[in-house]
Amino acid sequence: MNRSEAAPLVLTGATGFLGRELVRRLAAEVAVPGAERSVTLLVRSPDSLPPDVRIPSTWRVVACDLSNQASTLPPGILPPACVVLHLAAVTGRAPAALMHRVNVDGTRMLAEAARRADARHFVLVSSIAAGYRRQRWYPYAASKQGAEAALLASGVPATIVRPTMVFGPGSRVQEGLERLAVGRFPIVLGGGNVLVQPVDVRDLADLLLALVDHRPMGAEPLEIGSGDRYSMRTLLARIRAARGLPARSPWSVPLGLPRLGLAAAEGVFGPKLPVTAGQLSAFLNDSVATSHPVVDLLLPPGDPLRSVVSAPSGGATPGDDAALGGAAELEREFKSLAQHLGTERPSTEAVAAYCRGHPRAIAVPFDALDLRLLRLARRSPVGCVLADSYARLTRPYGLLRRKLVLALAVLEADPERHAEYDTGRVSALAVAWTEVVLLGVRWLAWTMIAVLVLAPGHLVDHWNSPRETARDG
Amino acid sequence: MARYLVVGSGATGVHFAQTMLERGETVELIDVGYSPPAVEHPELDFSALKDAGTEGGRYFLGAASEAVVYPAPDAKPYGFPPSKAHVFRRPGEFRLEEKGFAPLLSFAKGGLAEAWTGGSYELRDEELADFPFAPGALRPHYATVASRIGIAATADDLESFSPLTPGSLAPLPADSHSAWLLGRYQSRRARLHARGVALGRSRVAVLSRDLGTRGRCTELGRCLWGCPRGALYAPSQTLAALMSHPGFSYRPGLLVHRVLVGRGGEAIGVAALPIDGGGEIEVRGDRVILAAGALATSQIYLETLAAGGRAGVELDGLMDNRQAMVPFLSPSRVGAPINLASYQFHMLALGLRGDTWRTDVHGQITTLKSAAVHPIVAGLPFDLRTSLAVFRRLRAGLGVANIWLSDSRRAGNRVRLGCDEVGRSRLVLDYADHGHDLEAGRVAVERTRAALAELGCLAPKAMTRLLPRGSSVHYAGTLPMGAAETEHSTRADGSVRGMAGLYVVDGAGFPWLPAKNLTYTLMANAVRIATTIS
Repeated sequence: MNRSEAAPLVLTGATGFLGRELVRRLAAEVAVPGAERSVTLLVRSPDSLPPDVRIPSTWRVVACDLSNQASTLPPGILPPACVVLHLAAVTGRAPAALMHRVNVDGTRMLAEAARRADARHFVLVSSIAAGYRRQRWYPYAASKQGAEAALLASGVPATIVRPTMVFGPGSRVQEGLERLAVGRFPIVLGGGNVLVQPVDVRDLADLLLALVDHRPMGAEPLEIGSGDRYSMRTLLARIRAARGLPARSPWSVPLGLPRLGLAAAEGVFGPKLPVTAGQLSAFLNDSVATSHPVVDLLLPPGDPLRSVVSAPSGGATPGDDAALGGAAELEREFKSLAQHLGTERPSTEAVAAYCRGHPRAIAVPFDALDLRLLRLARRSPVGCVLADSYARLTRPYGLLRRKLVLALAVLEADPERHAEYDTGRVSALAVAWTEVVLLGVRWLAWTMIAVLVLAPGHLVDHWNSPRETARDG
Repeated sequence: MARYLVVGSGATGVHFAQTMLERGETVELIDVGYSPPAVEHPELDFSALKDAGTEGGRYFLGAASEAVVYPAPDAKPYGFPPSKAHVFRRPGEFRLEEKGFAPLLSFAKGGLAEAWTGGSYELRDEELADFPFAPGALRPHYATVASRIGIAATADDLESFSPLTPGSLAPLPADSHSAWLLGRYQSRRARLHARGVALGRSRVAVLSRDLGTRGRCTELGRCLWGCPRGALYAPSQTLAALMSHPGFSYRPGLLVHRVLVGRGGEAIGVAALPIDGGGEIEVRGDRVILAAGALATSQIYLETLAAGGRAGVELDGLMDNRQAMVPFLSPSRVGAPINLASYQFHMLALGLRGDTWRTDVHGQITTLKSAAVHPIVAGLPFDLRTSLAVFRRLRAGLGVANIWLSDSRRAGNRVRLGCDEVGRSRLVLDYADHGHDLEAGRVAVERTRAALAELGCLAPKAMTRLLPRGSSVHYAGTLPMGAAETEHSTRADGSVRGMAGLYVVDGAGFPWLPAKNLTYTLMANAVRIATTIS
């Protein structure tokens, strides 16, 4: 389906962890002719949009505070026949009353507005916690159950999505588990035998964007987890392994008394401590997804732990993620890489294909050197030559090489430029071999220059990065 | 209720079904049956298709550019295109654990042969020595299959490795690089024969003249993406033809997971799960024919035993042809023009004589014509800009020899059932190479490189690859045919010992795996079994 013919999309929660990922993906589509769609962001305050989220000028950004006590949304806030992707929710250490007001009443209010706008589809991102068997002292789980019920009661065509643990750059859940896993004495709360099945935020975002255009699934919630299920203990062990740390069995810390104490303290002082009794429910309940054919079909088969490797290995942060690709930046980057490969003016179709393929191209662990090579390649044609040469030596499977290969793949399918890649260069045998020899000499020269220019900084990084050294060792 | 209930629409299932229908029987075929996408611009050749735009390159790259092959230590110089994604798609209910064996599996209409390259070689009589039927028993059935699918072949030196099926079609026109290599072979024939090397035209299930509704090869150069004219045979073509037969019914969307067993221990049908969700359903038939491919057939058999209270059975003897890739360059072709509009796959085949017929090596040589070039360029040892420039100059001289080695049944190389962490059943494949396997692979690669050198080609050792077990897609040996009345085996007519009415017609029944493309023999054997039991 041509995206521009797709139903207008209304997104809430754009400032959150998952919302930012969705905004990035939707914004990338704006650069793709025929792929852009009408988008409305409902945000608590436009000022709350973080600076690294680039909002295309064609989008509507509407202030809408779901905690407001008003019982209905202003008319016209949702476009007719839209699709709604509702992420906004209060999580963490918020008071139970606020969770209910935003998560339950806010969803009811939005669903009612969607019904009045004849919305085609309302996708609610709930939580696997809504299905937990043991929800005591966990108002968040109850509020998500309430939100699901409110949506279904509204009569709007609906799909309920319950992600398990969502990992990825910037995931607080992941950061918390990493803290437990990577210490000198790793610990696990409870017995560690509950089952988990994380999903990466990028895969989840892809799935949600596919789901909004899918038929509504009704009352049957879609539970979302990637790949295998394993125990919490195994998850912590995998995190250690991914970080290159020696295997070490985590110590089990009983949960009964700490939860009781936290619950008592919350009863008196409210949720003021760094963690709530309810948040520990993930260590008492299985967080795994029941298989569903629609999810099997639409969820990309990515490794949910891939960001565990990339984050600590040398400086890549969620902020760097933005450096990896805004829409305009991607187009400039692709044109630079295309020029480097010998094509001056790739077609608009090729630009679109590069943007589409970009999320997969960057699905690889990267570190400070990878980012430096990428910036150098973007800077100038000479920089591109140096970065390409050095990447072949030091990062043959790394970020820049992957982007270059994507660019090459796109160019060889470019309706206007493919002949330059499909056909060989025809010449007399002696001429061809002379050219090959000269190319080899040129390659040698550029590689030596690249080593002279880039190796010192690389070595300094290496010496200053004990984690990376430990991993390499 | 049909007399024959066939599980799987791959090469063996459809040819078994066709034979039975021709003999007046009724057949119901149960299948997961993932379908291919619609063919785009069937009239256009490779270059014209790119010119046409194909929705921003989606045809070649996929909607999310998922067909891009990124650099990786184990990356191959090619990838399967989006139009073949359905061939390798797996239902969520199928679970697999691989230990030393990385198979490709298919649940598509037509099975794995929807993505084959058409190599069709008869086995010699001695290669059937371990099979419990007369050596010549397959011969008429090869001819039957050849008349159905059309095989382009010619009499040449390869006949000492594989008999030529009578009635073969004329070979396709050779591309200039293949013709050049064949010319070099003719001028060095005696020396190559002394090394035990024979070269000839590959025998391929591709039409050099129209056959029924299928058009002949018009050299569109789109073979990898799926021949839009149907010139390259695929079992889904046979399946489509069977649909109009009054005795045939087709039930897609079902994943068979066990055989239903009657009170007398006989097969009475199958239990299957709808892939779109829902509970198990039962389908009945007089006789159950397992044609799901050696691995899926083994799983169905094991699940059947487990349901009958015999959990923990292990099927020894899993086999797969060890495969190696030997890329090469013909230096004197450098700078020459190439023709993208050509049959894309191999046009030459290779035989390397071993110490005995059991150690013969078989190979096919593909010269580079139309292709996705980025995986090849990314595999060169320079920065990408230089690699591309070098590639463009070398292109007309590039090619690859794919070789296979034979395999034999061994204890420990097996198929069994296991459980995942939440107790769901899954298929477990255990495979370990012996030291002599690796040595045999190394020797075969060196002999191939030497043969290519004799032809005037350079085959850099650093670029050769011994592929992981499971790469050849020739799986066999878990329920072997044999005369001995042993458990977990089949008789010459494919019947499974210990369960009346259950038959295996795919590679699971092969007691030995010669170094040959297997599909043609699989089809002929399925026809043989059908004619035996009907």
